[in-house]
Amino acid sequence: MKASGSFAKRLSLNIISATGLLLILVALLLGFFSYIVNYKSAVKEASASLENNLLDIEKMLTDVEASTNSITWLLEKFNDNGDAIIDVAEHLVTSDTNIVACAIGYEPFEFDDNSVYFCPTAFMEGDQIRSKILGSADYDYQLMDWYLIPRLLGKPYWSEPSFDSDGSGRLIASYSKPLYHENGVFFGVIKADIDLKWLTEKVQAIKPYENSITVLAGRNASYITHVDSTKILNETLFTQALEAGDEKGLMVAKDMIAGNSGVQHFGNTRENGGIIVYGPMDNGWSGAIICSYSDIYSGVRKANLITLLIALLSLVALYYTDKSIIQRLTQPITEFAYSALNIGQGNFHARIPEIKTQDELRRLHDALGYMESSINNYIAELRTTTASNERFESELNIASAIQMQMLPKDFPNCDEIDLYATLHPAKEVGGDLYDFFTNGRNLYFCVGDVSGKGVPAALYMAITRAAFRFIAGLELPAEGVVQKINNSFCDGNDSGMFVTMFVGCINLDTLEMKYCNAGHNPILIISPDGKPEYLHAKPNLAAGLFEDFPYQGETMQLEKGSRLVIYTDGVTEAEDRVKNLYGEERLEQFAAKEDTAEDSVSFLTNLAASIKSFTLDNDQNDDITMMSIRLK
Amino acid sequence: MLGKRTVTIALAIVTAIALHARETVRFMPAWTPQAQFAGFYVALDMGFYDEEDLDVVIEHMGINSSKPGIVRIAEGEIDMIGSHPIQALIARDAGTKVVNTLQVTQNTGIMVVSHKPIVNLQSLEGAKIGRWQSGFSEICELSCKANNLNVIWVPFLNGINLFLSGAIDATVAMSYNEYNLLVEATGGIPEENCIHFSDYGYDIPEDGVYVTEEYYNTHRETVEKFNRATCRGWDYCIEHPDKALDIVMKWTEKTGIRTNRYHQSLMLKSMNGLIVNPRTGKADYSPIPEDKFNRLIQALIDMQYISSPTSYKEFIK
Repeated sequence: MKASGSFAKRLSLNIISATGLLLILVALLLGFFSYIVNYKSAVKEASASLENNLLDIEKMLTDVEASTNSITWLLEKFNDNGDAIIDVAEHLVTSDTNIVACAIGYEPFEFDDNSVYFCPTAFMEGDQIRSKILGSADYDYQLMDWYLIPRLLGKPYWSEPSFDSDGSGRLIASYSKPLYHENGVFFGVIKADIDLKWLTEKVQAIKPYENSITVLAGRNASYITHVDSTKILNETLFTQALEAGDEKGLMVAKDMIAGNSGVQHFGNTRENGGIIVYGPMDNGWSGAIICSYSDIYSGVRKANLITLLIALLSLVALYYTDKSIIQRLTQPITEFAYSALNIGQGNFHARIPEIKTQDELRRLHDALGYMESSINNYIAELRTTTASNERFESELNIASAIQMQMLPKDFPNCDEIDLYATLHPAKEVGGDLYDFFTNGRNLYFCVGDVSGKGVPAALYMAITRAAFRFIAGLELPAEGVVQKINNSFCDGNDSGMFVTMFVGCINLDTLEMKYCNAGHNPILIISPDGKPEYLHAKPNLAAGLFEDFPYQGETMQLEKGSRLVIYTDGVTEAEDRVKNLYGEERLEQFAAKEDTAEDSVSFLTNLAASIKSFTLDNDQNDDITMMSIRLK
Repeated sequence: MLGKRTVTIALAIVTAIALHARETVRFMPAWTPQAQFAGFYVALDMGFYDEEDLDVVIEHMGINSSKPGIVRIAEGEIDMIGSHPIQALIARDAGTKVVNTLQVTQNTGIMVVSHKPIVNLQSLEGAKIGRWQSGFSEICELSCKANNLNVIWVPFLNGINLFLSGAIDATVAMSYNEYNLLVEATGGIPEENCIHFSDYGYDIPEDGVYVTEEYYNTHRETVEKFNRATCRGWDYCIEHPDKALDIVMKWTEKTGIRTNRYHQSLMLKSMNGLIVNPRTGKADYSPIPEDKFNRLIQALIDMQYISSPTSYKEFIK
């Protein structure tokens, strides 16, 4: 993505991002540790609260036990005095405000030989103490839990809480103690009922957190207290877990009724989860406090939220502060940018901002100054070089023109011959040459190729052409012409230049041709019937290599209607893109296809086209010189 | 002239009222309101009894009452009771001539739950086992006696606290009630701690409707109407258990019974299972088969629960 906005803005954003990331990391760590600390604190607080309250409840129950136990000796002593027994029951109810009723049940025929049932009962009715004798076939207390269980167990028993049968809706629990004669024979049970209203209120008040729920359950797991009153004695610790198939809930409930204490996590998320802290009581009941995580962590969450808000505000403030500082610090960079832009637009003397500090900006200032100075120097050198090149190019163009002007332009097309020649240098000037002239009835001609290219070759070309025209004018044989040119070249040829050349002289009357080939390409002779054939002359060295080299000339008789094609190696060594050469064979094939009566201009024009169609747009790498002499 | 017509119309109305007089039936289930008696509550609540021109009043024994329904019907406090055949036969032998007019369940749900694993009936040798004072556990006693087991039976009123307190080694329980209460109180009862008497050849049908012979002879049509509407009530329970459960919960709430919907739903499911014939998939209100009845009579005589036999025709109506 392409960066947008100012550098100061982006740098600020980067700093803010990094800082923000760091802050988030720190906040996460802080949050994590806060959660752990809160969790441990919650467990500790809930456990302590539960333990203290269960101890309070146990103390109250113990007081009831003590009150009841303290009067049993009276019953054992006065078990045949009905009024005294009722007095004992009433005394217990009036002396202990926690006790709301007292029943003393006897075994069949224990009190009265004729009576199966005898169960004096004292109870509070408003603020009045009342009493009555219970027991009948329809109210067989001897089969009830409060009587039967302590009788069978032989020890006191706290009955499971139940709603009072008097229809008051009062939740009561009973402490029952078996009674024995001095001889150890069981004769009845005394029962003290307590109103559990205070217990419900006390348990409901246990709230380590605002929404905490505290429950108390009996040995049979029935809820004795619960925030949802419809569950009291209707449901057990297991009911919901059984219905929902909640294995964890079952495990906790089992642990509770087994008389264990513990802490368990429940729920799947921090939203609906929490902890349950539970513990037992001496009488087999158990209590539990349920605290939701939303309660436990509400403080942490608020603190985290405030921290987050402060962090966000700090980041915003930091952003604008950073941006302002960075803008001030990077102002010179902006100015440097303008300076660089000015320089780029050609103002190589643009003002570079002053930097007084010794830092990166100072180094940037120096570098920009050095760049400006270097550019100015380079431009000055470039101007000089360009002027020099332009001058040289101009001179070279003049040289090219002069070189072309050296070549003869009046091509003979008379009754005997039709001659035409072309020279296309590879550069502005070249080392190829051709020349011809007639002297009487003799046609002198030559085609040469000076070694090397460019200006040195062009100079030698000019010398060779001048030497040919002068020496050939002395009517020397062809080999003599070459020998003279060789010797003049060898004299003071320190640069080692040489020239290959084909020098010929045709007698226009007899059509006899004398010639000498000094290291040049074989010429092509096309017979009147159109058959091309290379003329393989005697081997001679190129001129300019060895002084006084004995060049050998040759003579041949030409026929009317034949054509001579003299050329330089620029023709046969013309290259296509893949470095294939045009070659002698392709030249021979071209010549074979051409009309023998075709004039020399057309012939060479077609030959040039053939070479071009071979090389296509590949650069010409050598001078191309061609001469066509058609004997009519 | 006008007076004569008025008298005629008045006589016609009186006659019509007399012909369509609605009869009051006092029915008492075997225990306090619970799904075990859902069919009766549904029949009343859905108006099935009403459609039979019956004003049915359902009465319950108190939780702390130890006076069985058999005694109440003998004393004329009620007209019909829900009871078990064994209990009815014992009462009949004792002089309360009751007859079976409808058999609701076809199997027994009686079982014994122990603190320790029970391998077979012999595992109960010497055990102190709680049984209901109001009856309904006679099969257990009968089977132990038949196997010459020395069992100490401890009568109690109801509930599971006696067993949970550890005062007894085992307790009788109904698979649809006390067993589920024990599961709800402990989180689960190992199957090896339970013994089902239906597995030991004592699969005696349980819940049925009983009246005295005298009542039957004088109110035969009433009994038929009551039973017809009751069967409709149970059919409804099987087809619409959730709606039936709503009606049961209304009764438990109205009478202040401490229970919960989950427990009652399990009970209703068990009851429906005891009523539906597994072979046909439909409710089966057939009377006890005569051969099974005769074997039961013989066993009761052998074990000295009754002194003289009662004929099938006398008992099953």
